[in-house]
Amino acid sequence: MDVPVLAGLNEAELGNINRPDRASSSWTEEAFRRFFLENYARLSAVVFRIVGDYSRAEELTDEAFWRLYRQPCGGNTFNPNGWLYRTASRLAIDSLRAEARRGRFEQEVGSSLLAGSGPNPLDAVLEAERCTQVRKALAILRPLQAQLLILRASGFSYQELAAALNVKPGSVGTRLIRAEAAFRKSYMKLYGNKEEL
Amino acid sequence: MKCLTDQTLRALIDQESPNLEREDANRHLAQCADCRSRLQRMSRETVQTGDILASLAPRKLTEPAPAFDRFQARLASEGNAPARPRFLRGFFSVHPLPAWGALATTALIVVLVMFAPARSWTQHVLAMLRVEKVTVVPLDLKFDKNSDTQELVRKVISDEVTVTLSAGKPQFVGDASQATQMAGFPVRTFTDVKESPKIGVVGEQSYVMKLDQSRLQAIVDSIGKTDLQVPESINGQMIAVHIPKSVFLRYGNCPEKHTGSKAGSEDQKKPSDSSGCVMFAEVPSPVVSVPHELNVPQLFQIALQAGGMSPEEARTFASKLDWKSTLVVPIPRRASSYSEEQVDGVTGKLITGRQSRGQPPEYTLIWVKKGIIYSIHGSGGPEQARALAKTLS
Repeated sequence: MDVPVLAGLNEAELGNINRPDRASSSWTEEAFRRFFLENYARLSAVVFRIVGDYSRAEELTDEAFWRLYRQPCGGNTFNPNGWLYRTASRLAIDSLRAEARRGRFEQEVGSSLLAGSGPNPLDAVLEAERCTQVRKALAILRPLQAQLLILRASGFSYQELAAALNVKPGSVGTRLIRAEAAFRKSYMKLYGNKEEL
Repeated sequence: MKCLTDQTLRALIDQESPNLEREDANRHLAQCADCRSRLQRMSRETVQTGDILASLAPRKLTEPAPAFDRFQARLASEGNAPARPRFLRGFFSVHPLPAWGALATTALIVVLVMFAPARSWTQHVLAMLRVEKVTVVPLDLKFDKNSDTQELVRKVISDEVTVTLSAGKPQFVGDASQATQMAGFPVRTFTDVKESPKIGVVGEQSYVMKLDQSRLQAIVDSIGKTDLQVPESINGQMIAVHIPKSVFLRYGNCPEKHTGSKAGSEDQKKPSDSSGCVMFAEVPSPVVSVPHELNVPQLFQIALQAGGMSPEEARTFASKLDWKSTLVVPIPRRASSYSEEQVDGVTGKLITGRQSRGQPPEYTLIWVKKGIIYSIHGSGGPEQARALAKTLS
């Protein structure tokens, strides 16, 4: 499993980012630009895993960066990486749950097909349907459990997960076990007759 | 050596064990068939789940440069105007009347606040609502104990309320000047109190609620008011609430989770020694918006009747109310009383709970000044609230 370098910046650089240029509440333009460019693709990939739609993923990723920019830095303890991934994944999960309530997953299958159809249309249909099922199962998990699973599947280490989700590093393994069990349970509840997990 | 914990096995599978722990674990695994079997089972499940979740990965990565252009364009258009959630922009541009705030707020009371356990009503109100003036409506809230109603309300909140901007955990700061800087308005303190308060700044929060006639009707029915008819015209109407940053100051011996705890949670059920605790809340007015076609006064009359008022009482109360600017605070009729108080140069409301089991009554003194709702909440009698209010910075 590839482990991402979350920040793309070393600690000294992060320190500079955390040192606002006015009233402890804003970024320098250059620091934010670098941070944005270095994290955008990875963050939007995390968001896409949850919402399954490129346009929506871009919209939510944009929103997360916008909120980060407007977020007071809060001194040296503020961790912009953790904040960003936590906020973006939560936005995405809230969106996913709202979509689930509105029953729009079926529409997504169609749009996913249009966006990423491969050489074999049948495979593409089956894959899109499978992804829809997985997202439906994720939508009924507790948000923190869904965040944990998605970020881990995106390659986050225990330490990075702990930083991103504001949990103790020593509790990550146990949380993962519980989250996966909850996911298997919700998946089986939804698709137990059709799928083996 | 004792058998390995699930956490240790999981860390082995994920290659997250410290070297020393991994060596110890491997030695144990070499001797323990049970642990080997558990490791195999966990490993199989982890791989299966991982494979399924891996199928969600995007086929392409998004280019960051165009996204940064969008960000800069947004910065140029919105600049340093007060932050407003993107999801709500359309909503507010269509319905820019802040006066609707009180109306929407009132509708939210109907569903979110009025049915909460009496013990937590002040926290809910303070967390949700801020307007220009305050009025109090005593209601018969005996249906708080009706678990069917609570469950219906819980489901409505869970299914129909979308948090578009979460406040997150409060950030605690060292003094009022830091709180002022973070919150964006002048934070006040009690000048005559020697001890330093614990000051928490709660982040912005936004909610969107979709109204569902059948669910609201089910709530009303569960209270036994089957004669009340929730209009079908509310179906699908959206109410949006945006609450700016707010500040809570704790003086004295306060329970840790005084703010933000959920209605009916274990924290609230446990008796706690909060004598001497005074909570001072400073909360700017929210921006709330509802569709013009939503008849909130009608909804509120229904809610008042559901709360035990006769149709005539509800009509009279509603006709006297300035819907556009008044925060309506429902209080349990049998457990509380209230009076008007001159405080901080304006007229506020002093709500006092009944004394029970030898405990001093709880009080809440609440008023609105210059767009900020202030509330002093504690136990020990209303004199304390009056005295504290006179010492505000």
